[in-house]
Amino acid sequence: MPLTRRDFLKASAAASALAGLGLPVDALAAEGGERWVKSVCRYCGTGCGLYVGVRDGKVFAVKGDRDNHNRGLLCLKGFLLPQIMSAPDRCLHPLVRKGGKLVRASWDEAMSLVARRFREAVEAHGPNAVGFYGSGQGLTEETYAANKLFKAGLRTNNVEGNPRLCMASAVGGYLSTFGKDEPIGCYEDIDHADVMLLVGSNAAEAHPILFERMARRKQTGKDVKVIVLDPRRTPTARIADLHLAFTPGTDLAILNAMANVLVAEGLVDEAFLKAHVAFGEGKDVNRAWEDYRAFLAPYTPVRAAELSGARAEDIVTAARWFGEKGRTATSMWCMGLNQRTRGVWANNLVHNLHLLTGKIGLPGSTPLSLTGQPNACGGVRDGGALSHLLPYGRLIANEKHRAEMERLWNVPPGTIQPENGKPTIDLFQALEAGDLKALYVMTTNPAQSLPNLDRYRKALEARKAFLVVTEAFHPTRTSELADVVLPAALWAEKEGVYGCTERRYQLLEQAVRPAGEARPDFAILCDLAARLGHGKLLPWKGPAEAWDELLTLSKGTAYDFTGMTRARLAASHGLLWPLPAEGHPGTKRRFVKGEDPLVPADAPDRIRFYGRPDARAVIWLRPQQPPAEVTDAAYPLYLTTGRVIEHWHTGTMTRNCKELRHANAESVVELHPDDGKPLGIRTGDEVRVSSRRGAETFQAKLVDGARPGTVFVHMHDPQRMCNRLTIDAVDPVSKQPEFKICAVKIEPVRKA
Amino acid sequence: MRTLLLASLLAPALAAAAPGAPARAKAPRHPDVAAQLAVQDCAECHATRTPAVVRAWEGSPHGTALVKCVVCHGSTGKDFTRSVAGARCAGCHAAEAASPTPVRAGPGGCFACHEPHALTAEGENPHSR
Repeated sequence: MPLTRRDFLKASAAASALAGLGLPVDALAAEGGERWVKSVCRYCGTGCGLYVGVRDGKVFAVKGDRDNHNRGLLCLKGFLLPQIMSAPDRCLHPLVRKGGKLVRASWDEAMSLVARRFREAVEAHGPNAVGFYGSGQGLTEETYAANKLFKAGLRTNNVEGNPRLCMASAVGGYLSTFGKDEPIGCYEDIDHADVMLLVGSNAAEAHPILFERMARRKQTGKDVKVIVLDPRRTPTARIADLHLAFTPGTDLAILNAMANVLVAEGLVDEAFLKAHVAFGEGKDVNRAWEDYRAFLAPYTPVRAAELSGARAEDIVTAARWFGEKGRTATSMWCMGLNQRTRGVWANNLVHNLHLLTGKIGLPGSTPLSLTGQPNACGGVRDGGALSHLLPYGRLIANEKHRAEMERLWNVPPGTIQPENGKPTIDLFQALEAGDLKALYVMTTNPAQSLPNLDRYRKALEARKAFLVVTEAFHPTRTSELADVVLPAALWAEKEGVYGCTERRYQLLEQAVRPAGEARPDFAILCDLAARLGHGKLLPWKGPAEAWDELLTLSKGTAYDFTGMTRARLAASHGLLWPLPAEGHPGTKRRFVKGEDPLVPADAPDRIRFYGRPDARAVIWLRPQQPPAEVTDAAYPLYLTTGRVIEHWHTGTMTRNCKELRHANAESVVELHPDDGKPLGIRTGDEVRVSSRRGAETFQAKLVDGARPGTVFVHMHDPQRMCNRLTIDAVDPVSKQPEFKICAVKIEPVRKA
Repeated sequence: MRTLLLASLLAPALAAAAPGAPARAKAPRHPDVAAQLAVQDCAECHATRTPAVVRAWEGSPHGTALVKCVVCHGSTGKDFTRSVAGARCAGCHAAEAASPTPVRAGPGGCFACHEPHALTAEGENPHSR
């Protein structure tokens, strides 16, 4: 709640007096028992710094951190965060299912039960009968605690998280192209970009403060061009000089066609290609420049236009603007590219444009993947909390890496299972098959967010697995199905690190005590470890001690953030890794000589892709391939899903903020008038949307910015769940599902 | 649908104005139209109700950045705030709010200089640190 007018005027008068005395205005914080605690927004992967205002032990306001990258700005979700803390559906007590109902229990009873059921499952059926499903919203130390407990303690690699649904293809793209995950550049590159290419990103709604930075660059820079590739005309397109709309799933052809134009018009950097690039197809880096040119030849703008519905001249313009010599280019993308059965390929194709032109590793020139969640990078990707990973770039399948982790974790050789665990969709299918006997779900809501949702809700409802859910809110669509619900501390009630899009790690300091009986997930996991006889693996008194262990694990890896001590984090407004020594300022641009401490000083050129054995980034030959499900006579419309600015993910937090709830009350289906009219559908009519997998009812909204033939529903409504329609087909490499494209039909149900 | 929506907004005012109507209860400062907001947000309805305001907002940095109506004005019904205290601006604009200028003590706070929706301001920028 903001200050009253009287408070404000009082404060202003006092401030003027203080200013007159030469005291900092923030000394006011002490007045009336008010203090401001440095932290980070709970929501998206932009990672805006903020201060949490505390009065009488409660969060009463937030204000943006003007010394952080967001310059004090917050979007409407961040601005309204205080309301989530005291929401009426906060989960305050442990719950245990008895006689079919969840009833209040003590912590001891709940934790005893959880430990017993997990122990029994492992003893009777082996370690792979249990699993952990975590989140890109968990703090780094929490996710690490779970990763260690399950992989080194329980000895299962069934550790997964919702970044599998969100960023796995971006990871696959960076890994296959550069040999290492995570972006090369940083937010500052936006300030120097002459051309910004946005593909499959509605940044205006999904990364608002980054979008503001782009809009500001467009306004203040000289002749800045913004290109937006998106089947829909979203609010992001408002700043576009060129908006290319196209049939969902045909963007691979468009990106290849752009590369075709770059080559045809001599906009490639041949010297850069010669020194720093290799070519590959399939899984092998065994092609040559001539092969790539031959591969690109059929992807003419005209062919791509025919296939995609975009205009050939727009494809040419986009390529020319991107490739113009002497001008910098930054690409940004998000779920439009990642949530695809060819998501890794789509990522490769964006990287290709930068490698072809050499527009990489320079201020304003970089392929910058926008991360969806606040800590997908820090906690899950970097921390290695996925079923095929170990911390900081290590792989389960790599014997040396396993041995290294066993030494670092001080566990006997052979402790870590050599086989990968099950990625998310497979994990839930194992639950459906009865093979997974116990699942621990932390800080995520799969019974609303999984694709082909009805299938997995049915599996959960069948009670084949013992389900533990730690949550700050109850009920959610997942906690309502749990056998045990553990009340988790929320955001400002605990301390830990978040790592956002631009490799920036920042400390969230605890501002208030947990509500009710809630405990931080870190403490819950340490408790569980002790009860399972693995207390030695999680011996820490608090997250700061676990952080020290993480510094050690990162040492010598491509992530090396040994210099990011807790004290340094506390004193800073975020630090960018690599940061290998205490005095090091952090790294804005990786792989760049003089900026990245992991590039030797005697490297021959300005850039060195040290992530790859031959130090060459790979241009991958990736053909256009259709999505898993295309439209047909029975299901003639494409459905795409996504986010809106008012809400976050499954809405458990934002739907508790009354302004946000009122501004966007429910999921509706947005369709173009050309699609609505033949069906006799008008705005406000109730309609049924069905796919081969399920159906849901929504109010309809005719929107001019929609693409004829494609409808849109947002994911934030627990009562009208778009995922009853979506498909659980996955990218064969990243295992990320294709949330963005499936086929539906629409039928009127009731007129407004 | 839009006609219905407009009619429901006008209805309370018309009822109150009718001759012989019962003593007027305190009218809400903004009709409680939350229910309709599933398909129409503030700006969409106000595009016809208060078009100049919406145009000004859309063309402003707030419009581009989607700092929507609710951020400054709160929700509808009794939660609506017509005139926004400058203190609310400090949530995002702490630097400007704390800058050593006399504007904070004057009437209207930030809006003494900044047009409330277009956000433009005339004259010298007093916010330099």
